Amino acid sequence: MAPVAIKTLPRAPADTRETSIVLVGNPNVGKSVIFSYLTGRYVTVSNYPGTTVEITRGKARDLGPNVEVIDTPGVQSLSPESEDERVTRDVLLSNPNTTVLLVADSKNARRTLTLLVTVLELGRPVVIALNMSDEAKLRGVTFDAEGLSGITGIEAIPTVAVEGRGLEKVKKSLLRARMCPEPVRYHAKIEEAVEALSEALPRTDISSRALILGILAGDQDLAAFLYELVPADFWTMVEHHKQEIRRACGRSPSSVIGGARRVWVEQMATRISRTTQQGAESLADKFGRWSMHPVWGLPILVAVLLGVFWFVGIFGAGTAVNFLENVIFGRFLNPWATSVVSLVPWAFFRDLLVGEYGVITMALTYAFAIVLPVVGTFFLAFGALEDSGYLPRLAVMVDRFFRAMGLNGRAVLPMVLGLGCDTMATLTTRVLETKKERVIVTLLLALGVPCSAQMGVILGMLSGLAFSATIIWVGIVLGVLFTVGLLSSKLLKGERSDFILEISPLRWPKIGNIASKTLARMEWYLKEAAPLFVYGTILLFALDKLSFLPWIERASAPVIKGLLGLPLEATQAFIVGFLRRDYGAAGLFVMARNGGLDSIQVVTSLVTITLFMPCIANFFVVIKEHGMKTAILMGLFIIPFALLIGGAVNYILRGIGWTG
Amino acid sequence: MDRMTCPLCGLEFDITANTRCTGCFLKKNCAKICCPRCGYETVAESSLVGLAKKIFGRRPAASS
Repeated sequence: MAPVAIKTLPRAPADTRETSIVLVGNPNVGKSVIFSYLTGRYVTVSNYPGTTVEITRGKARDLGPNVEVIDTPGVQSLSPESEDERVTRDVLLSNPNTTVLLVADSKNARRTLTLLVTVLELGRPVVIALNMSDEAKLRGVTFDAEGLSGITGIEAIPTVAVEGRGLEKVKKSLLRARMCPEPVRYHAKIEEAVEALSEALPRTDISSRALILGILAGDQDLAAFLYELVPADFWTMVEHHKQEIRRACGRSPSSVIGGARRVWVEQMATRISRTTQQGAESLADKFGRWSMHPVWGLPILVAVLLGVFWFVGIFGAGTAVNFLENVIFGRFLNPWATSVVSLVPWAFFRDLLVGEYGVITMALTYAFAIVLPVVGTFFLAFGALEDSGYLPRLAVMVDRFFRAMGLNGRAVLPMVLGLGCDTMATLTTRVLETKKERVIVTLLLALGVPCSAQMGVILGMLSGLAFSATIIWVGIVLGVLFTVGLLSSKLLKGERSDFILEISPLRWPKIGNIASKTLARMEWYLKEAAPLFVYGTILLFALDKLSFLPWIERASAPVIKGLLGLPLEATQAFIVGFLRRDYGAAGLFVMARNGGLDSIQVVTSLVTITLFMPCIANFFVVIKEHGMKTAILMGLFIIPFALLIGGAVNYILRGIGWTG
Repeated sequence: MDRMTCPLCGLEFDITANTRCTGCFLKKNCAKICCPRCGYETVAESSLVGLAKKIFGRRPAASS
């Protein structure tokens, strides 16, 4: 199907300059220093048309009249997956007579080559400044500039921009920059498509090879740009070639193109870059490397999880909850609220505020005294992990886990994001190519990935039991995820993800920064969760007043009592659990603290509620993304499935005599 | 304009209206910042911290 022309590729503001030099590079590689060297004092900073991305322009010194230098935002590739990458790509495409100065980090050959391959394919003359060559040398990294030049024909010059070393050479090289438009030879079917489709393209100042590769890889902006320039049958030809490629390679064109580029990057990196150990590796570097190792990474992951578990369980769910629930709410707020509300003459409103299902005594007490301290301590631990640089390493570990299952590599990102918020993660399933893939990953997210708030409450509850309870819970959730993932991998074709993570060095988190983040997360949580806690409580209140609650409890007795082995009051937790799983878990938490649940009942109820739909917001996003029918079908699968697994846990644990 | 670095993919980006999550009906209350590249969500500055900065952060320099 032909793409809709939603917009045209933005053109650079009209000017009369003949030539431009565009600086491109990964973030923090020293582009700005080189830009200042090339331009001098007078520069203009403006937003790129139609975006909020800033572009800096200046007149080049000593490079001839009317030569403009343009500094672009730091990017990882020209895919383009972010606005920065889109703008950089558009600047390169829309400025005729452009010479590209790729500013590279000499310490990281793979990252440099990943960007270089897409820059070369644009068919512009390129010069490479291998910056920070002094730091590379100190770390024992050698980047063979001559070797790179020999293979690509592009001049590569080692530089230390902050000291001005090598920059004069770079300047001279820009005057004789050369092109290398075909660094990668793709699969014969791709090359066939490039040749056939190039003939149908109108003549533009943009490399037709770059345009066709972008269109085959699914770049919607390029498709929109070309929409009005090509005949209608062009898109039929594109679809025909895409199908031919799929048939011949068994993968999507974007995967074939991405795969060939990765092979090129690996081969080049092996040929031109070497790392020799220089002096002692720092402990942080060693630890950072171990944390991604397929074997050593696992004990580190377990140690991190244990640390979080004990901190959240002992301090959050123990000390902090005790203080807030028993002292602040128990001794002061609730008695005070009850005495004030007793002045209200209508019993109905008194019950609504401070009754068994009262907004103050239940919703606000749960939100502020039970859930907030638990998720607050979890947010504190999570903030420390974020700032330490551990999360990208965790993503690498998870990536290995999913690849071992044979699941589509692109599914990893939504799964990792789901640990933050399932609702947002459901939106990121848009990166998946087929509807089938999107639905399965959405299902996996809803089924087995608890968000940070839910994880906090669950860890808090588990901390009150023997550690074997946590192992059972983790084992069952991972087992369900693994089984459903394995089954779905049979339906999905495995393709590697093109997603690039910046693995920054591990560092000590700053206390002030973590405290500020935690405060912001707690504010966000209260704004989002507390209203739903109130709605859930009002729902229970209404059901109770209308005498529906006892009826629902009796009707669900075969499942709640018979199958799950839980007291009938647990039904209420599952009713509000549909609004938010953590609210349901909080209800179970209170029951367990009051001695209403034994160890098996706690584990059973936690497994069941973890496998439930995450929250009502998530359900609405599933409707928005996949339609009402799919959302209902998903709910009809998830709820009975969660109950069946919970029932199995109950019977098995009782059968083997586990006591926790 | 405030800039931030994504804790997951390392992208540096400007915090704009476009970096807000618009996924669900809770978006009016959602103060999360969404990485434009990988979608990872993190939080914007706490309004309490922002208020404290306004009150205490801009003290006039002490005259010598």
